[in-house]
Amino acid sequence: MPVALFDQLFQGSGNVGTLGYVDLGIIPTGKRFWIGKASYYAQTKQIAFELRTNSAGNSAGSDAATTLIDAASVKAGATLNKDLYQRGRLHKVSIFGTGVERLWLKLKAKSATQGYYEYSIDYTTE
Amino acid sequence: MAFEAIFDKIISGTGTTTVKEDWYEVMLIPTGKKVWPGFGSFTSWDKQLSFELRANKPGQSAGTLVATDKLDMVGVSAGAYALMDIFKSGLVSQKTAPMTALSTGVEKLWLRVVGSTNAAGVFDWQLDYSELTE
Repeated sequence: MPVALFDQLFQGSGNVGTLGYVDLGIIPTGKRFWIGKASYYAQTKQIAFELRTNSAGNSAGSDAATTLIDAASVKAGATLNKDLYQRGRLHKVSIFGTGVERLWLKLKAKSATQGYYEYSIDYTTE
Repeated sequence: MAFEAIFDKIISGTGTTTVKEDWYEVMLIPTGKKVWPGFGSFTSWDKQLSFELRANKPGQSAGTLVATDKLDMVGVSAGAYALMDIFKSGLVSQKTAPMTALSTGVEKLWLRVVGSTNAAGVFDWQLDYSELTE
């Protein structure tokens, strides 16, 4: 039976105005998340999706406390599937956890009107 | 699990262009190294834009057509996103892949942003790349 590389999944949905931070979870101590593929959906307006990892010792969902792993945006009414592995040419990872750091999904839009979104992110823990 | 990807560095930025042709400095190429760009991601929020990744010719540092060579380009519709696959999914060998020259300390990597109007246009960009010494 084949064993897939990215065997875990973050998924969720919600509504966002101009800015939002979604907590994907705490990074296990001594380990890091390796992101393989991300799928994003923006129902009514263009939304940018940024995968961000806390920097060492930080746990807040903010630009100052995080660094960028990858970014993409989706036009209104569309879905984007982004390959973050690219046959091994990319290695999109979080920081190694010390017990406090978290993985975040930052959402950004120009319009303040609430817009519905969904996300599905395939990853593994190494 | 040990793993070594080719494009292990990332740089990103955002900008607003209000002219038909604009130049943004991506990075100063480290002395003695060259930059091998792998994948670029571009978002245009307000108007159609084309994004050209350009590298200074040896000894040059200005953000102009004369002083640079084009590595790759992509067009993005208003309110849309595009991936620039400079690596061409591995179908282009490292010998012929688009990359900068070895830096002498002055050369830069540039983003030339072109639109058809002077209306303000906000954009975001990201570049996954590697640094080589030869």
